[in-house]
Parts: sequence; structure tokens; C-alpha cells
Amino acid sequence: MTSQQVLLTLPIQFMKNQFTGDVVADLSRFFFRDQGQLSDYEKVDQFLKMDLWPLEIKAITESRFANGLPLLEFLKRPLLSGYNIALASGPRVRVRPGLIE
Amino acid sequence: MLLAINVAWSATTEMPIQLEVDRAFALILKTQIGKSICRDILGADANALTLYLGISPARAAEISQGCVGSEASEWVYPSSPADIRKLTIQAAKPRRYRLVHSDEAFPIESWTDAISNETTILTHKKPISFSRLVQTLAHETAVYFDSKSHPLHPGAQELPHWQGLIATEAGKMNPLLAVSNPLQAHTLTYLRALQVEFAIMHELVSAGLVAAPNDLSDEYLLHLVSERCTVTCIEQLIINTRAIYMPFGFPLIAFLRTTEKPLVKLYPLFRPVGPKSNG
Repeated sequence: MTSQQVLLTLPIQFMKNQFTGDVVADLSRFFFRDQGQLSDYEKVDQFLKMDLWPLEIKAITESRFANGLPLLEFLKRPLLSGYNIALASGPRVRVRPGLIE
Repeated sequence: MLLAINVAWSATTEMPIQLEVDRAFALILKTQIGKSICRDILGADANALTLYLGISPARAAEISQGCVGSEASEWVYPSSPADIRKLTIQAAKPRRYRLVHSDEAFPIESWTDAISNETTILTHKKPISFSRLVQTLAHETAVYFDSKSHPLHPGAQELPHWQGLIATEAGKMNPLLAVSNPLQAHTLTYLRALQVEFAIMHELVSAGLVAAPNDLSDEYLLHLVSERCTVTCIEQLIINTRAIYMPFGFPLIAFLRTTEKPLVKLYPLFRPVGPKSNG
């Protein structure tokens, strides 16, 4: 399969098999790679890094709103409401010191 | 693979947490932002506190009565419990928390699953302190109600903040699609939630209600939440955090769905969004 085909099919297979009711097993499947599918993971990595990212970073950093506010600065400001939270989820990662302005 | 994982998880313990969750939310909802979330999003409704925050019914009734007498937070956009369209497998499934203590170091500290409405808090080596739990729940609450997390979702159109504001779209990709990629989206959600978490914790620490967690004075985190962290700083954060997320980027993408189809199906459809060529 090509990287594009992998990205189109495997996430759907992953979702179908994700919820077993065993939170530990489910999280393990999430955070540790299935050794049997390493080549597929690498294809996805390659697609995300080499094909998507150059397009994404340009769109993210160069976009602004009508009032001149950069998209990234708008996205930094919290906005809490009952709207648009159907998909609100995600990991909490403690970032370590890195390059800053 | 499974054998390796089973070994890694052999020293895993799941601990009861509801009493501590109730205590933590009793504090969080005393803060200005907490009161605003309780009143302006959840309508100070005890059932909503149970459903969306996971507070036990008995404590929710008591806590809801205190969600008054504070100014609206600039970070809260008033809505009502009826506006919430939470995606769950089982309708109206109350929020739940799991505290998992493991010898294995996971790459994250907590995880909110949008579909099961469940938050898993992972601790490594030692049990979580109460102030750390308050901090984690403040963060997860901000993640839960984060309304900028997926601008492609139809629900985003309910928010005036997004409408008609995009002036330019650079490059060959719609920027809303670019920031919806979980490799970027989770970092931006984290950054927004960090500010809410820090505001809540600083208020509670100043009032002497909880001990200050160590990272509340971390210079880099303080820089991230400050106004000094602008485009270059945020861009660098995204780049740094992508390296953390990349090993599980594939399942992260699997979790990200639009209302009707996986986002991944949108990728082949991306088109240049600039002026159309005459050719």
C-alpha cells in the first residue's frame, strides 16, 4: 500500500478494534506500536512529515484574520463553551523547555 | 506486541478516585473561571455538573448552589447545557475518571476520550498528589469545553469568533484543515488549556486552598502562557510537540473524525485555496 492508502484505511480499522472495554489494553494499543504493522506506521509517518507538514506549516503560520491577528495567536486564546465540543479530547503533555523567542 | 505490552503493564493499578474528584471540583468551581463555566455553560445545573464534569450527584447539588456571584470570564462564551453536543457511544453517559498508576512511563499524563466520555489520568512511580489532581482536572475541564479544537466541525459555525475572520489563506492548504490535524490541534488545545489551568491554580494557591504544584513556577510554562509567547513561540511549541506525538500520530488521526466521516478522508481532497488560476 502507498502511504496515502495506509492513511485512508488503517485508521478506520484501528477505530473498529479500539474499544475493548479494557482501558489499559486500549491505551496500550494506542500508545505503543504494533510491531506487526511497523512498515504501515512508517508510511504514515513519512506521509505526515514529508507530504503534509510543509503545506501545513505554511498555512498555519502565514494565515491572519481580517484585523491582522495571526491565526496562531487567535488559536492561543482559550474559548470555552458548550459549542463544538463533540470532538474535544486529547492528551495532556507536559512540554519540556525548548527553543523560545 | 501484546506480550510486550502485558509485561510493561504488569505493575499497573487502577485506583478509586471519585471522592477526590468531588473535592477537586468543589475548589475548581470556586474560582472565577470555574464559576463562569458552571453558570454560563452548565447553567448551574446539578445534573449537568454530573454529566459533563463527573461530580457525584450528591456533591453536584451542593456545588451548583455556589456557582453565582462572579463576573463572566473573558474566556467563556455563554451557552447552555442544551447547546452541548457531546459525542458519546451511549447518549447522556456521565463523565468518568480513571486513575491508573503504572511503573511504565506513558508519553502523556492524562487523556480525555471524546467518545467514551472518560478521562484517564496516568501516574508514574508515585501516587498523584491532591494539588496535582486539581491541576489535572482543571486542565481536562478546559480541554473538554475547548471550542477551538476542531474548526472544521459544524459546531464551530455556531461561534461568531470564527465567522468571516479569515482574511488570507496562505499556501496550498486550507489553514483550518492544517490546524485540525491532531499533531497540531492537540498542541494548541494544550496551550489553551494550560492558560486556564494556570489561572485556576494561581487563584487557588493564592487563596491558600491548595499547595502549589512544582511546574506552576516553571519558567518555560510561564512563558508559554504569557503574552510574550506569540507566533514564533507557538510555532516552535508545535514543532517540539509534534516530535512527542509522532510515534502515535497514526492512532491520533484515527480518533479525529468529522461528524460524518474520518478527517483522513479529507486529506486527498485538499486543494489550493488561493486565487484560482485561469488555466
